[in-house]
Amino acid sequence: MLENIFNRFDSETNEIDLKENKGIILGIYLFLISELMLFFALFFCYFFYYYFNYNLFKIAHNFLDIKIGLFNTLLMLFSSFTIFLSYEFYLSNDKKKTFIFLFFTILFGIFFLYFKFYEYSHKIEVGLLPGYHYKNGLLPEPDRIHVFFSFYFLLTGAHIFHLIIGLFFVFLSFFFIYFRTNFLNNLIFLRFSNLYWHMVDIIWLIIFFLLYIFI
Amino acid sequence: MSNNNYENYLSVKKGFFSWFYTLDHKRIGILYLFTVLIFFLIGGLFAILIRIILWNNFCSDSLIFAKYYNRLFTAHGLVMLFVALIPGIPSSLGNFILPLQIGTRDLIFPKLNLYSYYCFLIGILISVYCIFFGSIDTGWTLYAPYSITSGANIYLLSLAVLFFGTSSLMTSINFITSIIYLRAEGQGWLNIPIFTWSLFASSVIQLVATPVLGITILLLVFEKFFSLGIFDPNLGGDPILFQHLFWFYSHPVVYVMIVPAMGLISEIISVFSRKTAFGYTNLVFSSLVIAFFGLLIWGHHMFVAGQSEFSNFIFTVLTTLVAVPTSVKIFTWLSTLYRGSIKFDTPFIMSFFFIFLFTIGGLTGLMLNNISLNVWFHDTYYVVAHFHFILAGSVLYAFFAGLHFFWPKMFGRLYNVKFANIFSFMSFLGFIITFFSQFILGFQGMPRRYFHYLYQYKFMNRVSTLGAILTGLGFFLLILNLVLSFFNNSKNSALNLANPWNAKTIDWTETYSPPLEHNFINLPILKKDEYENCFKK
Repeated sequence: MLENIFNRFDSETNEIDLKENKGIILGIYLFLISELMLFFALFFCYFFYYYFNYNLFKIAHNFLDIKIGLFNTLLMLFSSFTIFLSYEFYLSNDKKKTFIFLFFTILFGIFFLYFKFYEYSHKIEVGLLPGYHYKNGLLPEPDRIHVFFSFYFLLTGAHIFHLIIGLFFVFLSFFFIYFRTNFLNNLIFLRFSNLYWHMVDIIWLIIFFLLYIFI
Repeated sequence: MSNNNYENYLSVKKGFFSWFYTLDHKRIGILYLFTVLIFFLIGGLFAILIRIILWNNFCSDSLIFAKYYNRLFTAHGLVMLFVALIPGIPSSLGNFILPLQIGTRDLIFPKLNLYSYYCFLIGILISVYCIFFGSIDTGWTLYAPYSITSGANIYLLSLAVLFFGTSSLMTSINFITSIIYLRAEGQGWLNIPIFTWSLFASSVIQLVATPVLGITILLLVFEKFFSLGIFDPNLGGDPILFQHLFWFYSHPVVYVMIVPAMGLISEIISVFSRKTAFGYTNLVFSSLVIAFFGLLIWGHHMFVAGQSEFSNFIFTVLTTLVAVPTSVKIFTWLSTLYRGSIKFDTPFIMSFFFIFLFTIGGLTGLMLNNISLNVWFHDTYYVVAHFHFILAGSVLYAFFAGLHFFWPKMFGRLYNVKFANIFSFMSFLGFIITFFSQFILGFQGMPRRYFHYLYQYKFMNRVSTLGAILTGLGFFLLILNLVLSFFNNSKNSALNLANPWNAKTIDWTETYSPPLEHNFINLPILKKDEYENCFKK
C-alpha cells in the first residue's frame, strides 16, 4: 500500500524513506505487542484466582450489571468501526467524512467513559469495593469475595487508562489532519490511532467476556 | 584508514550539548557505556561492603543493623542488574556496533534512541534517591507481603523501574525494526553477524517480558495504596502470585543479558581463530530457541515456594531443555577453535575465561534444576554463587571482552595490552576465589542474605572476602587501563590501529576507526556468502 504512495525508489533517500515508514508501522505493532503483554499479565493474575476461587467468582459476577456491559461493548464496537471508516476516507482524500467519523469515535469513547463511571459510582454506593474497603455484607465468605472486585476495578481501571490514552491519540489525529498538510505522516499517525483503538476494543471484549459473561 | 586527520564522529561536533542532544547511535552508545561502567563500580562498592561485613560475622541484635544490611544487598542487586547489566551489552556495545554490522548509517529511530537514554538517566536518578532515602530492604526481588508492609518507598522505586523498563523497551523496538528493515543490500538473514542476531533475540525477549515487570510493580503500588488484597494473605491474597509475575520477567531477563554476551564471544572467537564461526546456523537458531524457551521456565525459581508438584515437574523438564541450545553454543565455539590459527590477545583470553566460568555456572544451574537438590540449595550461597558465575563471571567478562575487542574501533586507540592481560587474569583469579568458596558454603548450608552465620562458615566467608577484594581491584584496574588509553600518545602505527585484530566483517573493514559520523562513505553492498567466506580471502 505504501509503495503506491511512493512512486520513485531510485535514490538512496527515497528508499530509506520507504523503509523508514515501513519500519514505523512495524515499530507500532511491536509497541502494541508490549501493551498486550501488559494486559496478559493482568489476565494471568485473574486466571490464577479464577482457578482457585471459581465458585466465589461465579456468585460475585452476578453483581455486575450486564446490560451496561453490553451497551459499553456495542459502543466500543461502533467506535472501532467509525475510526476504521475515518482511515479509509482519509485514504480516499475525503477530509470532511474523516472529521465526522473521528468525531463520532471520540463521542462513543466519551459515552463509554460516562457509563463506566456510572457503574463505578453505583459500586461505591453499594460498597462493592476492592480489598480492605469492601463493605457489602450480603455476599458469602466476605473475606475472600472482594478479590473479584479487586480484579474488576483493576482490569476495568487499566482499560479506562488505555482508553483515555487512545482518545488522546484520536484527538491528536484530528488535530494533525486539520492543521498539518503532510499526507503520509498524517496517514501513519491515523493508522497508529486506529491500531491502538482496535487494541483497546479487543481488550474490552476480553474483559467483557471474562468478567460479565463469565466464560 | 585511521590517521585521525579526518572528521570522525568524536571530533565533528564538540561541547556538552552536542553529546546531550546527539542523535548519533555511536555517541549514545558511549553515553550508555560510561554510565554503565560508573554504576558497575558503584554496585561493586556495595558488594565489597557486603563482603567486609561478612568477614566480621557481626553478632548484632540491633534491628537497625539488620535493616541496613538488607538495604545494602538490595542496593547491590538493583544497581548491578537494572543499571549495569541489563542495559550493559545491548545499550552500549549494541547501540554502537549494530548499525555498523548491518551496514547502515544509523538506527531506524534515532530520536527514540536518545529518549531511551533520557529515560535511563531519570530511572537512575530516582533509584539512587530510593536506595539512599527510600529504605528498600526487601532484596532486589521485592517479594510481596514484605515489600508492601515494610517501610520501603515502593512508589518511587516503581517509578524508577518503569523508567528503566521504558528505556529497554524503546531500545528493543529500535533494534528489531532496524535489523528487519535497514540491512545492507545483499545481506540476507543468514548473512547477519552473530552479534546482531543475538541482539535481535535479546530484543524480542525484552519486548515481551518487560511490560510484565511494569505491571507487577504497578500492582505492588496499587496493593499498597488501595489495599487490593491480591498479594497480602491477610486480605485474602496470594504471595505466590507475585512470585509468578516477578519471575515471569526476571527469568527471561537473564537471557536478555547472556544472549548478547554469547554473541560477542562468537565474534571474538571467530576473529582470533581466523575462521568464521563453525555452525553459524546452530549459533543463530540456538539464540532464538533460548529466547523462546526462556519465556517459559520462570517457575524454577519457585520450586520450594508452594506451587504444585505438577508445575515443578513441567518447569524442570523445560529448564533442562534450555540447557541444550546453550551447550550447543559452547560446542560450536570449541569447534571453531579446532584447526583455527589462534592468536592470544586480550579479548581472546577473556573469552576463554568466559567459556570456563559459563560452563561452571551453567552446570551448577542444572544442579539447581533438580528439585530434590533444590530443596537443599534454595536460598543458600550455592544459588548466589551460581548466578554470580553467570552474571558477574560470564556476562561481565563478555562485556569486557567486547569492550577490549571493539575499543580500537570505537576510539581509534589501543589500551596497554600487557596490563590488560595481567588485570584480567587478576580479576579471574579473584573471581574464582570469591565465588567458588561460596559454592562450598552453599553445600555446607549457609543461607543467603544473612549477615550473621554459624561459626563453621567463617573460614570460607573470609576466603570469599579476600577474593572479592582481588576481583574488585582487577576490574577497577581494567577499567582504568581502558580509560588511560585516552591519554597515551600511541606509538603504534596508525595503520594497525584501524584493525589491530585483522577482523574481516564489514563493521571492521568498511568503516574507519573511529568511524565517520555517518559510518560509511557509500553504503556497503554485500556479495552472496560474503560473511561465510570472509576469512578465506
